[in-house]
Amino acid sequence: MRRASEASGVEGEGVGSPRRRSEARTCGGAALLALALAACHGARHDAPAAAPAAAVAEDGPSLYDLPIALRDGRFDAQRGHPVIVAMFFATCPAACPAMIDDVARVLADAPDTHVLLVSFDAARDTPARLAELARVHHLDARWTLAAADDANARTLAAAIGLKYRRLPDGAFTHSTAIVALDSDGRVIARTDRLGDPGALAGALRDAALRTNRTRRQLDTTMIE
Amino acid sequence: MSAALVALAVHVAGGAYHTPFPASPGERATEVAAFWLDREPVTNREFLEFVAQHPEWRRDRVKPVLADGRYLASWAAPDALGPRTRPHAPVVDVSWFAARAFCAARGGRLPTEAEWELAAAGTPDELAWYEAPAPDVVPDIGGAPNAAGLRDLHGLVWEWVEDFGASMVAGGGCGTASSSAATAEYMTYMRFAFRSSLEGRFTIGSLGFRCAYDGGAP
Repeated sequence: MRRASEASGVEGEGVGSPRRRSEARTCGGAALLALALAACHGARHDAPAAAPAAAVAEDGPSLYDLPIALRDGRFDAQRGHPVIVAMFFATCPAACPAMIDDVARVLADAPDTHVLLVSFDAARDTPARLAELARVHHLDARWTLAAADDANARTLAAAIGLKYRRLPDGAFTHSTAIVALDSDGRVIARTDRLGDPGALAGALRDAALRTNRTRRQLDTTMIE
Repeated sequence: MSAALVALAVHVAGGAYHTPFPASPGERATEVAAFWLDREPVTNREFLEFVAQHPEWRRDRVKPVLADGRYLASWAAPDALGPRTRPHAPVVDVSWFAARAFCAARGGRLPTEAEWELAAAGTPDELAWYEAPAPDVVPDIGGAPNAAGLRDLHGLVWEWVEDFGASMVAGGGCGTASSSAATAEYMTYMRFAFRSSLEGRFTIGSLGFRCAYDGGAP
């Protein structure tokens, strides 16, 4: 199995996995309690799940199979390139600029990689506001900033394991999830922390090596 | 609301849902608009009809990004229920994506966590269920209705909500979500904690759903 699928939190085995449980982005008490709960109401199908789920991970589910409509274009518009996908809202004071910095650092060493940042604040993050954000952060053409309505944003958030909630003052609170997709939309790496883009960079480097190898093989085949 | 949906669902008056576990001091109350909620969890028979009409949700055709490998695992076949799956029992082993697709096909959506909890407030809940091993075969729906006419909110299955786990995300770290869990709120806390451990693809043998619909009184 390739290293990428091991690093992914979206692919792989299901709810019964201790590793997956430990990754639940909740406060410690909640995660432990949920683990305990799964031992009673919830345990019934955990054991037999490993085999079929592992088979799924071999070629990995593509996020491009998700029924997602963005306000600003197609969700799979970057197909053919590795893509870093994250969610944000433009008025986010600290975490979102830090996320953009992390992604920019990964991009510096991954020239073929594109970025899709999806806002869950479609009402306030108008196309003009997103364009302004791109200008302020000097984001080049590899970056796509988009917004989605709540139903579509929830779909993407669920797929990448991000949780968010609108606060009474109109801002949002959210967990962190940055994922790297290969050129077919399969998750090859993820991070749940800011300031730690190394896993994404490594996976994208490996993916680029694989792509180059495949191209060389294709070239060789054509010559032969 | 069509007549068909009125037969399925009951009207739930809106109001303020007071969570026992505010993630921040300003979030104690969530305003919930009036809505409709299915009387009972969606059953295997109903989900079988859905799968027949929407074959992309058969377990042998569902896209892996939308459901893990256990999706509808207790069914005898992709298009048949079988001995472990009673027609009038809640459907389980369904992902959040599948539950949402079912509700959309019915003209509705999943309830939010605040809607679900508001509708369930005051309904007798037994700690014993949370502690018991899940049965091999999920029993039929048909428990006693609560004051609003909703059945089986507790005691049969956990239920998906649209914003599962979102309420446990506290700004700036772990916050206060767990510190106020009084004994009387323990079961509510277990539901919040359980939901926060889920991911959209997950399917579990004791996790089903019911649908909600926008709209005021009939």
